[in-house]
Amino acid sequence: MERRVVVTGLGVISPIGTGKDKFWHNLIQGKSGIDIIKSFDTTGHRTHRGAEVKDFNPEDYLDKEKITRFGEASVFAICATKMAIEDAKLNLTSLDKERIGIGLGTTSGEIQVFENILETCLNNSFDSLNKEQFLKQPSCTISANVAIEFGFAGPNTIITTACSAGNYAIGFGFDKIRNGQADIMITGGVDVFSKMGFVGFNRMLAVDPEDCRPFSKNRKGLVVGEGCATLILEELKHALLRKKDIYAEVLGYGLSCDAFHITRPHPKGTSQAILNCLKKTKLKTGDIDYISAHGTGTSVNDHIETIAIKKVFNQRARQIPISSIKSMVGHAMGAASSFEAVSCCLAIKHAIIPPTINFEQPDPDCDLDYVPNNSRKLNIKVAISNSFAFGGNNACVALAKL
Amino acid sequence: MKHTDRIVITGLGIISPIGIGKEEFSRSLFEGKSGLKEIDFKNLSKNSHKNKKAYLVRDFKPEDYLTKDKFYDTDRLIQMSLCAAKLAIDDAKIDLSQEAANTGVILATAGALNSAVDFFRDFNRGGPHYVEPKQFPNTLDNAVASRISIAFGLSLMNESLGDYFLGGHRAIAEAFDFIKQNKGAIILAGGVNEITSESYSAYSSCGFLAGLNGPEICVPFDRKRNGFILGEGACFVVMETEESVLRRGANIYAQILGYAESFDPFGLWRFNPEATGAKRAIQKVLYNSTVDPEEIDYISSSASSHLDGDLMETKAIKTSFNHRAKTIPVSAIKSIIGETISASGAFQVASSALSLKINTIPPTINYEQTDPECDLGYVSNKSGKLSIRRTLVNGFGFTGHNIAMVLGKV
Repeated sequence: MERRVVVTGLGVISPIGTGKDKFWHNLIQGKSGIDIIKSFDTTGHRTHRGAEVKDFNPEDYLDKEKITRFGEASVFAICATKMAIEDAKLNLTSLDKERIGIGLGTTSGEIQVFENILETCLNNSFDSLNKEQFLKQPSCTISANVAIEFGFAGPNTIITTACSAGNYAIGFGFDKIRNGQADIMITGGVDVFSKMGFVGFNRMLAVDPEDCRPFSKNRKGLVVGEGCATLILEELKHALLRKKDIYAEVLGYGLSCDAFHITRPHPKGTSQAILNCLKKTKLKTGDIDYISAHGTGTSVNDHIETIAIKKVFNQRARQIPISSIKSMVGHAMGAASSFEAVSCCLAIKHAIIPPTINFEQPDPDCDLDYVPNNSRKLNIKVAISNSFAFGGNNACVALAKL
Repeated sequence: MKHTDRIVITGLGIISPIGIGKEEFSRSLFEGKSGLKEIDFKNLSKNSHKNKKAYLVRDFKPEDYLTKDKFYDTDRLIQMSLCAAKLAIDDAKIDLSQEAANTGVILATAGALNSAVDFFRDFNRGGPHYVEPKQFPNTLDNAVASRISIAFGLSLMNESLGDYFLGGHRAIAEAFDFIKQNKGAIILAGGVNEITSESYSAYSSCGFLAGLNGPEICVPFDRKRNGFILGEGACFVVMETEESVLRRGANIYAQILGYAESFDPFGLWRFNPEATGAKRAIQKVLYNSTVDPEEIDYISSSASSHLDGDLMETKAIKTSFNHRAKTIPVSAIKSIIGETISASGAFQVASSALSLKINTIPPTINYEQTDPECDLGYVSNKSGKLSIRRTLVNGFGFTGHNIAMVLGKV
C-alpha cells in the first residue's frame, strides 16, 4: 500500500498579501500586487515596477535579534513556515521531530546579503568584509534556519533550480513521505527581491514596464517579484488521525530537461514534464480539470507553453481552463511555483479558479481558455501546475481533491 | 530486491587538485600526493595575509576535453563541470546517441561566484545599462547543471542543489532515490567548487581556515589541527541500475547500498559535541541498507582538519561501532584534496568506489601527532591494502546537515 501525501497547512508572504486568506481573497478578486518599486531607487533602470511584498512585518512572528541575525530570505521562510504550522494545527511538542523535514526551493537565496557584501567590498575593499554578513549568505542557511527554529531533524535541502524550484521542493517532500523517510515535510519556495535579477532580466528585454499580461497579444515580459509560500505535506493517515482538514492530495510530479538553451524554453522538454507527471500519477489527459500555467508573460514562454499544452492534451486542450497568477503576483522566482501550488490547493478547496488578469488582446498563437480577467466557479478534481525554468529545468505537479 | 535493481557506479569524471581524470586522481590519491599549493590571488583582503595556501586545480584547459562550441560564453566553474561531465560520460561508456534521453544531471554548487561578482561589479561601476545581457544567466546557481544538459543533450531530468558542504553527498542521495523510482535512468551526480579571491578572503575573515591559530596545514584528526584548507574541483559519479549496465555493456566500480540523513538543529556553523545527528545518520544507514556494523571494512570520513568537526566524527564512529571502532581503518581524503565544499561528497564517493575496486585504502596524510580524543584506526600517511566488502562514507557538515552512505563490492 503506497503512502499517500496530502497538504494540511499553508503559509504565504506575497505581493498581494500576507497569510493565505488575504492571498486567496486578492487572487479571486483579480487584484494585482505590481506597483512602483519602493525598496530601492530605480532611476536609470529600464523599468520601474515590480511585485514587492508590502504588508509583512517580521516582528509579528520573530524577535528582533533573530531578524538581524538571519538573512532576509531566511526570515521569509521561517515566518511563512510558522504560519503554515499554525494553519496545519501541528502540535510540535507531541510530534517526533526526526520525522519532520524541510525541502525549500530558491533562485537566488540570500541575494540581498550577497549584494550588500559586494556593495561594501567593491566600494571599499575586501578588508571591510563582515564575518556575520558572510555567514548569512549561503543558501543552505535558509533551510537550516527553519529546521533550527523548530527543531526539525528530518531530511533537509535547498534546491536551486530557479523558477521551478518550488515545484521541485514539493517533489522532494512528496518523495520523502512516500518512501517513509518522513511523516511531515515543510515544502516551499522563497526569493527576495534581487537587484541583479531586476537588472539582468531588463538587460535581456524580458521585463514588461507596466504589468504582467500572460498570453495577451500585447504582453511584453515578466515582472520581477519576491515572496515565500510554504505547504505542509503530511502522510494521509497521520493527518486523518489528527482529524485535520485537508486542502488537497499531492498525487505526484514529473520532471524533464529541455537540454536546449540557457534561457529559451522548448516545447519538447516542457511538454515532457507534463507527460511525465501524468505518467507517474497514472492520470489521463481527460482527468485534468485545471492547469496553473507557468505563464510568465514573456513572448516566448507563453507561446511555447501553449504549444506544450496542446501537444499533451490535443483537442482536449481547448476545454481545460488555464490561468497564470503571475499576472497578479508577478514572478516570485523560486517562490513562484509555491504560490501557484497554494493557489491550486485553495482553488480545489473553494471550487473557484483565479483569473489571468490584464488579458486585453487575444493572441492567435495563444488561443486556449486562459480564464481572462475574472475568476470562475469550477469544481476541480485534479489540477496540474507547470514550471519551466531558465536552462530547461522543468517540473509539473499534480494536486487533487481528496 | 532483484539483483538487477541494485544501484551501481559505472563512471567517474574528475577535475581535482591532484589530477585531471580518474587515472591521475587515483594515482595521486593512493600515493598520498598532496594537492596543496601556494595561492596567487590578487586583491585579497589584508586580514587574510596569514592564509597562503589552497588545494587548487592548476593546468586545466577546457579545450583539452571539449570543442569550443560546448563552452562558449561560460566561466571557469561551468568549464570544470562540463569537463568532469564529459570525463564521466566517457568513463561510463555512455553512447549519447542512444542514451541522452535516459540520462540526467544532479549537481551541487555553492553559487556562480565569479560570474555574479563580475556582473555586480559592472552594475556597480556603470549602472544597469553597463551590464552585458549574456552575463546574466551564468549568475544563477542552476546555470552550471543546465549547461551540462545542453552541451550533451541530457534530457531526462536536471536538478541543482545548494546544500553546501553536504551538497555532493545529497546529489548522490537524490540520484539514488530517483533511480529507484525510474529504473531506466542514468544519472550524473556530483558537485563543483571554485575558489575565487573573494571566497578565499571571506573564509579567511571568518576564521575557518588553518593558519590563523596554528600552522597552515590540513591535518585531520591530528592534535595540531586548527581549521580546514579550501579545495576546488568538479566530480561526477555515474549511477544506474545493474540491469541498465547489463543492457549497455558498461563496467561497475561499486554498488551503493543505501544512505540516510539526519539534520542536527544544534546551531549553524557549529558541530554538536554530542554528535546526535551524525550518530543517527550512521545508525539509520546501517539499518536501511541491512548492513551489520561488523560488515564495514573501511570508513571514508568527512574530517576536514576542523578542531570540533573531526572530534564529532570520532564520537559518532565510536558510538556506532563500539568495540570495533578502533580497528576499522578510517581515512580523511580532505588531507589530500582539501575542503571542496559542494564537490566533497562526490570526491569521497568516487575515492571509495576506487578503493572498493582495487582493495586499497587512501591515506590520511600529514598525520603526525595523536590527539588522545581522536584515537581511531586512521590509515596514516601511506595507503593500506585491504579486502574491502563494505565502506561507510560520512558527510557531516557544520550547517547541521549529516549524511551517511554505504557502498559495497558488487
